[in-house]
Amino acid sequence: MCGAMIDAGKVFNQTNKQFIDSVQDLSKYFVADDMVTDEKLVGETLGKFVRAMEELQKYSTILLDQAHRSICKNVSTFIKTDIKRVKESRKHFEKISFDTDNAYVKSAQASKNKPAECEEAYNVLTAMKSCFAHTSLDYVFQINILHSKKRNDVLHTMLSYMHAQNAYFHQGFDLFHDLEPYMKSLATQLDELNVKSEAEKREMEGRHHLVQEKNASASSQPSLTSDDPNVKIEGYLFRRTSKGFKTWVRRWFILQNNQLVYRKRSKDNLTVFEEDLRLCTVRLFTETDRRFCFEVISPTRCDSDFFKVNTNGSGDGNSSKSIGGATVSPEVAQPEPPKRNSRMTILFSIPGNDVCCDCGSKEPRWASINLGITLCIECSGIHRSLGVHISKVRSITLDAWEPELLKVMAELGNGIVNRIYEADVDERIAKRATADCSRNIRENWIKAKYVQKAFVRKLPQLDETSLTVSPERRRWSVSRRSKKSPSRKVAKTKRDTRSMGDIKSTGPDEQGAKMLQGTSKDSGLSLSSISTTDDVIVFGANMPEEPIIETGLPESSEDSSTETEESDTKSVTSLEDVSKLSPSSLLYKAAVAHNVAVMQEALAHGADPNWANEDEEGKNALMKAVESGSLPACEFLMLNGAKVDRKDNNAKTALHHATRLGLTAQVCQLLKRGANQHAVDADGMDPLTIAVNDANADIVTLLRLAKLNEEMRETEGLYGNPGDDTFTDVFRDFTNMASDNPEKLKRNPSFQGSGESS
Amino acid sequence: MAKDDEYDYLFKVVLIGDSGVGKSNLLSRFTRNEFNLESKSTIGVEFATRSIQVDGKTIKAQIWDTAGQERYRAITSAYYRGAVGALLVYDIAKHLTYENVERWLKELRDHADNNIVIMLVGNKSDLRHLRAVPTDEAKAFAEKHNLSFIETSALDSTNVEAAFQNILTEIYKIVSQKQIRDSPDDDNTLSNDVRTIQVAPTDNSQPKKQCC
Repeated sequence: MCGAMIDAGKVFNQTNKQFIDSVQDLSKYFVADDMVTDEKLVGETLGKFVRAMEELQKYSTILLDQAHRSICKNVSTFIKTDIKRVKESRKHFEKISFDTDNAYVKSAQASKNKPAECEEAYNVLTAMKSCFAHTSLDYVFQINILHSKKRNDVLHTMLSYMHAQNAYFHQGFDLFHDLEPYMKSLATQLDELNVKSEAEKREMEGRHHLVQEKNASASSQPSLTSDDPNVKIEGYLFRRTSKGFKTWVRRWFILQNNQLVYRKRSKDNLTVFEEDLRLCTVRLFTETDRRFCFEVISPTRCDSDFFKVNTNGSGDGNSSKSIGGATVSPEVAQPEPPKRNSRMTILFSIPGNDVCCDCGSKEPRWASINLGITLCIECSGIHRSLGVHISKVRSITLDAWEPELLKVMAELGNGIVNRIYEADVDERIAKRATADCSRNIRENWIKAKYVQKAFVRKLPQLDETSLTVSPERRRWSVSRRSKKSPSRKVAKTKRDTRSMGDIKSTGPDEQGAKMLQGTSKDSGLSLSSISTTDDVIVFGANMPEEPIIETGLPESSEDSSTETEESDTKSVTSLEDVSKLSPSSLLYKAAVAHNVAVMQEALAHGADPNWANEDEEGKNALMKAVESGSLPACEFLMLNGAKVDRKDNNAKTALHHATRLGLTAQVCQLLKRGANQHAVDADGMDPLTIAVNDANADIVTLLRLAKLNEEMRETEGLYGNPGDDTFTDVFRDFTNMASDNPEKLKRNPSFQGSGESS
Repeated sequence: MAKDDEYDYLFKVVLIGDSGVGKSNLLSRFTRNEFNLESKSTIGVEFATRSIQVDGKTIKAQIWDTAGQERYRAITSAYYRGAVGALLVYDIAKHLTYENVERWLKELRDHADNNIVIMLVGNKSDLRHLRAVPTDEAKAFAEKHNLSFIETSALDSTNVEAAFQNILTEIYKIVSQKQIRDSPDDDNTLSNDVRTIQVAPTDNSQPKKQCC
């Protein structure tokens, strides 16, 4: 029984020790990350507790030891020695009593006849008797001793055990007595902590509610950019970096003002990631090992950006979900117009672009980039069905738009294009489409308009008879396009019916005025394009004045090559005999003058975009557009079927010409369009050789980079790699620079510090 | 030349430094084992590639040899886009080219990725009698700015291979390590053996150019 007790005690001790150990571990943990003072406190407290427990443990070990010694030893020695002795004496006693019994039997058996025997037996019996009595006495004595000793011993043992217990508890008491004040203070601290954490909890709950409210009502966010009511949602996302190391970095993303902005953890400056999320779309990104990835497809960036939803915590998941939600449904966002030069603003500020070019529906969200018009979704579907040689359809909201495209759009617009394609509407051919007409009517209308070109007014013919001047003397020219010219109220009136027969005056542009100074000053009417003396037909001259479109697209360097000419007040191209007037030559001339509207009209008349002018070394319109330095004119031609790699009579391509003239933006544009840079001209020069000879570093860089990209694509062509990221990045840089900051692309002869470009 | 068709990693490394320090010859020595005493000024940029083995992986180095001469340099951003390593070369025999290293470092800081690995290369070590930049001085400078350092000679091939091998190995270590760890937060907080560019301590306060 005692043994069992001791064992139990030992087990208790061991468990206790384990407990203490784990508590110690805990306290170590707390001490280890003692970042917060509260945790430090907890750590200290636990440490003290552990120490106390250790003491206790020590004491109880001592107690057990003592108990073991006092009880077990005493009892066992008692059992071993005393009881043994008793047992021995008992054996002895039993033996004696057996012997006595024997003696009695013998004496009883003794025959009366044999007195000697009787005598002997009697003697033995008496001896035995006395012996027995003695032994029994002895035995009883022994037992008595044992009993008394037992009583003694047990009492003694119990006493010592009591002592041990007493000591143990006393020590424990002392220990806890020492600890008591500390415990008291701890208790108060705990109370405080409790209060604090309660408050914190309440605060958190409040915040939680706040966040929920905010999600619902987009109310203000006190924690961040405090007074910005437009912060919709924010949270951590992993973003894949676009540069060399394609790592995932964790950033704090915020949705505000329809923008997606982000920042590094501690830094305060926000980086605008997406100008206008309403123009973006989001899709799941599966081509990676990571989970929860999505990409934002943005119209303003050529590449897409990849995100990974942060998996830590539900809040983050929430935020990313809502980011996704906000972007896939762009219409949900409040309709306040963004102040920035977003694509929409630019496109819709172009005259006529606020309604569909073909049916007049409101809010067109599609565009035909080669025609330069905006379309509603129904009409865009029909445009698609016409084939890309007629119309190239893009989404204004979803597709990627390069800056050049925007410029082409800005040069045209529904107003101008309809003045060309709906000049002579004959509803007998096709009924005019309306916003809610049937598909059939719509289709017939659009086909008549763009495929048959049924409503385009015919070009003036040589056999015109309405003119007083003989046809041989008539000449024609194209007005140069220049937005910078002041718009005067010269050609404000609409097309005069009288002019219909003898001039073909095309779409509006605001610079008609300047042309007038050069050629015909006599008239303020649309007829002004005919000088009475010279009888010159000027295309693109008598445009009704349009409000200047503040497109926010800075003029590119396009005019650089022509500025000198213009300063000579020659704002029209050289005069040509009207006998040479054909749609193709008109296109050619319009390209020289980089007048996109006239180019559009020439195409409407059926011009061949690749027509080569044998009078000028077999150059085509694209080369002239390149020479004119106009990005939109080049882009327009390439959109409308001009072949990039056509050669002139000297075997020079457009790229040769652009390189020769040092037109970096045009070189970049042509290369993006896949111009072949290995073509050799009649002098045996390829564009790179020309650029190196001219030491034009930017063009050399672009050409070499494009070459490198070609090579890389060849080696990796199997995987359909669209090319090196660096290549696309660099070209995008150049493109943006050409659109936004054309001066920077001009070679600077004064060699300033290199660090300040870009 | 080794077949370049297959590789595990493609690293873009730029060669920068003053005009005439031997960038183009370092490149031609490394990629074609050629040297030309009368090489012309580089215009814009020239490219060459070579694949090497590191750690059993094939690493293709796409080396951009940029023009050192100011008037032959293209738009700066074109050079540093996507570059993961830079060899900043000076001429040990022309002290001015060494003095300009600071300027090049600034340009890197302004235009290149924050994590770009930079190696300071003292070229033309064969010109012993003309030495103008002591090795110890350059080494101390490199240590101060946390760059690796080597002296090479494109002419007698000394250390050319080693220079490229070292920088590519260093990049590989960072990139492969990153793939495992995928550094969870800021890309500035890199582990010990990654060299972040900390140029002159005076302008640490300047806001870093956002990479986007």
